[in-house]
Formats: sequence, structure tokens, C-alpha cells
Amino acid sequence: METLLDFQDARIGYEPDRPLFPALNLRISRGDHIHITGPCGIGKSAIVKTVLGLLTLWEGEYTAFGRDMTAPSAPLLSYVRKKIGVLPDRGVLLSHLTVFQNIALPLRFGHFESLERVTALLAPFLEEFRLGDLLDLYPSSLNLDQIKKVGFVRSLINNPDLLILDDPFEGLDDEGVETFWNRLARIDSEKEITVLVLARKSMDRQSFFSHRYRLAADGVHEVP
Amino acid sequence: MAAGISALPIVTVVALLVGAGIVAETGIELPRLGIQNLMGPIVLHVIFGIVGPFATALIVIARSTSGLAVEIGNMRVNGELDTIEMLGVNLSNFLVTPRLVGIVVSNIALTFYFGLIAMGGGFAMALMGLSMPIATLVRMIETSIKLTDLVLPVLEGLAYGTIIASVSVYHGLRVKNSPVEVPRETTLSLVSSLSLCVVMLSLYLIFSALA
Repeated sequence: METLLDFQDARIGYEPDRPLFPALNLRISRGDHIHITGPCGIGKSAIVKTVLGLLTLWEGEYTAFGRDMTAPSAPLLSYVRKKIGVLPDRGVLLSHLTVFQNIALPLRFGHFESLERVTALLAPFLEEFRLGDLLDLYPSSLNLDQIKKVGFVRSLINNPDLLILDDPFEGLDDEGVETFWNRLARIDSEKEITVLVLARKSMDRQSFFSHRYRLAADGVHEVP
Repeated sequence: MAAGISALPIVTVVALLVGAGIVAETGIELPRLGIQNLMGPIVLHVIFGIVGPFATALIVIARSTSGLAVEIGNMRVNGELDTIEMLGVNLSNFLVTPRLVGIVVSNIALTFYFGLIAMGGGFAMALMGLSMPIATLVRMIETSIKLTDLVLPVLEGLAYGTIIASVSVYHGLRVKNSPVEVPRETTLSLVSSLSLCVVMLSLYLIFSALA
């Protein structure tokens, strides 16, 4: 099975002398569904930022899609980021863009797709996530549940190889949680997208995940 | 670009007043010195070469510098800049370059607009305040206008616009994670823009005098 992400003794953190993880070892293969749990502040978002090249790898090795990410060039970062769909913690939409523009952002300015293509790709998600009436609104008009749904659709719309969800269920109402799980179940049945979920709480539907880990200060520990 | 268009009313008012003031001053003082025949080139040089570009830059600093620094700084604090990069979107292409180009182009256009409106204010002052036949002032301008009088405001607008936009974006991007950094960087961007524009004006005056 092809390895998508591989951390070997990776020193991860915002500052080199105060690492959140002094030696992280984690391998994610194509088709895996990974669930990593850890309390607030332990460094889940730092892992996401390191995966996407926003944080420097201070020591160790990290490869993404077979490329060495120790000191990535701008084209390599672009290549890796375009293969990953990400729902950040709290959703994070751009406040000066409408919902439609937010969803279209990675396609329009990352993949340089036309508006017609974006509209066509968005169509299947509109009913599923009840976004039809929201497209012209700005994020300030949305609640957290809607923001997360928009962010989820934005992460999926370019059909990524790897989907990273950072605390996806925080702030969702029951219907929102069900909508997310329905989409994840479809992803599971289609076997095309690898999924990495980082969350502060454990989840009910553990059968979805092929591997489960618990984050601690000394790294990740597989949960049997 | 929208920032440039929304600045038109204030630029119009300031340019009318400045143009009227310059023509009043030159129209009264130059005849006393016996060099009223230099009124055309002096008015042109002062409006298009010195006061116009600098006054426009001051207006753009007051209106756009703080807005741009606050916008980008808040985007950093809210995690929007990180998100843009996470999505594989080039931050420079999507966010920085359009704002830089927008401010530079707006500043050039506003500088030229300032000069034209200031000339209008000058004509009004000549007609109503100095009882000077408007044809006389037009003839003075007409006979002394050179290509450099039109190229200079474009070049100065380009230089001032580049300074203002670069400084604003730089200070906006310097914000890290704390909201308290936004007003601090905004103030710094205003002070830095103003200081650099004054330095630019001084250098221009010194070297144009030497040339």
C-alpha cells in the first residue's frame, strides 16, 4: 500500500527549543482511515500545520506523497497541499468572501478551474449539506454548524487524495454530525480518499477507522 | 480599486482647495516680485510635481494604510492566512499582489486626478478671487506645459503608491497570533508610510533641484 504521509522521529512544534512532540512517528497509507485523539493544546493542529508545510520540521524526517518535506520548495508545497483537503479547527472561512467564493477558493485559485466547473462540482453537495440558501451569505451570517459544513464541502470539492479533519464535530448539531457521518460513510464505500481525523474526544462510530491513536507528549500510541 | 474610487470625494475637495490656494499665493506674490510671467510653470510644477503627488499620498495613507494593515492582521489572527495556504492557494497571488497593484494603480490615477482638479480650483480662484482673465492663466499654462509635467505625477504616484502598499502589507503580515498586535502594527504602518513618503519627497526635491 502506498505511503501518503510518513513521520520518522519528527520534532514538531512552533519553536525549536520547545517542541510539542520531540520524536513523532506516524505512517499513513493510502486507504487508511486514521483517528487521533488528544486533549486540547497537545498539538493536534500543529501536526496538521506540519503536514501541510506551515510549520518547520525541526528534526527528523517527513515525507508526503513520496516527497521529502524536510525543507520543501514552494512548488513542492503547492503540489502536496493540492492533494490534501483540510477542514481546520473551527472551520475558518475567509470573512471577506461569500460562502460560494469560500468553497470555490481552492478550485479557482489553487487548481485554476472555471466558474462553470466549480458550479458543476458544487451541485451534488448543495442538497446534502443544505447550502443552497447560504451561497451568497458572508461567514459572519453563519453559525458554527454551517461554517463547519461549508469548510467540509470546501475540503472535499477538489476530490483530495487525503482528507484531514481537525476536530470536525465540535460545534455541529445532531443533524450536522449525521450529515458528516453520511458523507464519511460514502467515502468509506468508494475507497478513494484517505481520511485523517484529529479530535479531542473519542467517537461512537469506531468501525469507520482502520487505525486509532492516542496523542501524548511523547508521540502517538496506537489504541487496540 | 474600490478604495481609490471611494477616495474621490475627499481628493476632489482637497485638490480644489489646494489648487485655489496655490494660484492665490502665486497670483499675489509673483507680481510683487516682478516675475508674474513665471506663474504658469510654477503653478504646474507645484501642483503636478510636488504638492499633488504628496497630498494624494497623504490621503491614501490616511484612508488605505490602516485599512489594509488591519485587514491582513485580522486575517492572520483569525487563521485565515494559514487556511489560504493550507488550501494550496498562493498567498501572494491571491491576497498580496492584487492589493499592491490596486493601491499603486489607484494612487497613480488619484495623483493625476488631483492635479486636474487642483488646476480647476486654481482657475476658479484666478477668475473669482484675483479677477484674472481665465484666458491669461490658460495661456500661461499652455505655453509652459511640458511632457515631464505629465510624466512626473505618474512616476511619483507609482513611487508613493509602492511605498504605501508595501509598508501596509508588510506590517499586516507581521501580526502573529494576538489581536493586540493588530493596532500596534497598524500604527507602525501609518508612521512608516508617512516617514518614507516624506523621505521620498525630500530626496525628490533635492535631486530635482540639483538636476
